[in-house]
Amino acid sequence: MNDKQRIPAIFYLVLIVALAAQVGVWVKLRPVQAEWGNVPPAPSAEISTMSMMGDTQMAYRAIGIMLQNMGDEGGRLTRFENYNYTRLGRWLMLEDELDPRSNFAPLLAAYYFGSTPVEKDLDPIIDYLAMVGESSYSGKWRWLGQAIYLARFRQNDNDKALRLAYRLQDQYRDGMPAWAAQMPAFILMQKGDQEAAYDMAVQVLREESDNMQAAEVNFMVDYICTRILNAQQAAVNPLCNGDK
Amino acid sequence: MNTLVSRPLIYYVLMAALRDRLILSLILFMVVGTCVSIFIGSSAVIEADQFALVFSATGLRLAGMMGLILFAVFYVRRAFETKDIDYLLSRPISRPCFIVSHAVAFSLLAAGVALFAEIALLILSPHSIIIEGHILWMVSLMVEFIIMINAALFFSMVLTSAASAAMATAGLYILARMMGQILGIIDERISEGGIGWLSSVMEGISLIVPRLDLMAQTTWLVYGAGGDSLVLIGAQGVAYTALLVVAATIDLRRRQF
Repeated sequence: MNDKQRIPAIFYLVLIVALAAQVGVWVKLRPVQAEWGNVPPAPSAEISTMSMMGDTQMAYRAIGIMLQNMGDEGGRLTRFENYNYTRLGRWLMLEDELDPRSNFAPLLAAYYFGSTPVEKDLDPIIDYLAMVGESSYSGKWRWLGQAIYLARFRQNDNDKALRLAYRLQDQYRDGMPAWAAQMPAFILMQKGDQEAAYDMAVQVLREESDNMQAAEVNFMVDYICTRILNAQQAAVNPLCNGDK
Repeated sequence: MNTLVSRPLIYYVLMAALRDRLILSLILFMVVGTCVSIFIGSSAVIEADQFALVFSATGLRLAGMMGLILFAVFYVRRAFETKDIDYLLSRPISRPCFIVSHAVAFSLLAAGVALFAEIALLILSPHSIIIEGHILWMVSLMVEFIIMINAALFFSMVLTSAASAAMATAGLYILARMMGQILGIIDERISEGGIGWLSSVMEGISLIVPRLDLMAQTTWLVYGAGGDSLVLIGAQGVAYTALLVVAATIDLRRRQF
């Protein structure tokens, strides 16, 4: 090794000092972790599309994945009661503007965000599902049925459920099952909550499963078996034991 | 030579693309991007195929665009620095022929990359192919790639730094993809806010920016073409590519070596 290649001791000293400084910064920053600042305000459809460089469908899908994973980031899980559902409702409405045909956002709203234990938080979800349910695209009326379900059995708000039932009745067209037209009568019947909820969910499953994606059918079956029925009832129910 | 296109020059550029490992790098980049898209898309609770399709299409478009822009810019700047251009122009090739031949070669390359992206999507989504939507997406992607690789040719002729040329081309691309929304926002709000002059400035800029927001829409892949047609997309491609090629030719004709 000649003199030019020899590294002066000061370089090693500076290297050690820089490494020690880096370790010091690490020690200081180690407790600082990414924090979820709750549901952010929803942008407009134009801005969302711009952020995906003019591709509306990409904006819909990117926001969809973001909504699905929102709150569950950095190894943390967030309880639904801690979500800002008013803002969440605006995101769902934005999704409808970006793609009114997909069933992804309605499914998230109905089966995922609709599981919140806070009844008041269901208002924006019900409003969103009711709006989707009145879309002219085929099969969308099911989401109005979900809105009725949430109003009737989760919020126990018969008046709201009845108003939505009349809206579903107005949507009735050839090809829809008869119970959609009979929904107001169904709501007016003072059946026990669990029995009525079970009847309604099973009817949707029986008559509409051919028009649903496999994952959506699974969601409904799971919902019936784990949320509507109790463990003893589910154990003897053929639907919950693999029979359709 | 009186013709506007030189076949040997086109062949030379295409060989340069092969030598640069552009094709190999793009294929690898696109395959990795598609795999990541499938992974992210399959995490969706329903419509996983549609998610993977949309994410892959977007990833393939961006990867293809980046590869083509970087190749064109660095190829041209290197040709200037190594005096390849001086040598080629000393042969019986006119300056317009030089530019047009490069534009043709680059456009062929762009069309090939778009075709590869479409093949990748067809392999990815064998269950739910909407033929007319895929055709519209692929052809419009070809038009988008052709416009942008010729924009890269123009900027790399005009600007002397490869980094500046690449950034200018990328800037044009981003602006062009957003132009539809920008014009929409202008029509809806800005002119009402007392800053109407800004609307006029943007309207002026939009005159010389291609409407790439109308191209390669992933909605077509999921739901079909709807009412959209290729006529305006093709017209946009022809008009803007011609503008870029003529502008690059004028610049080269004025240049002194």
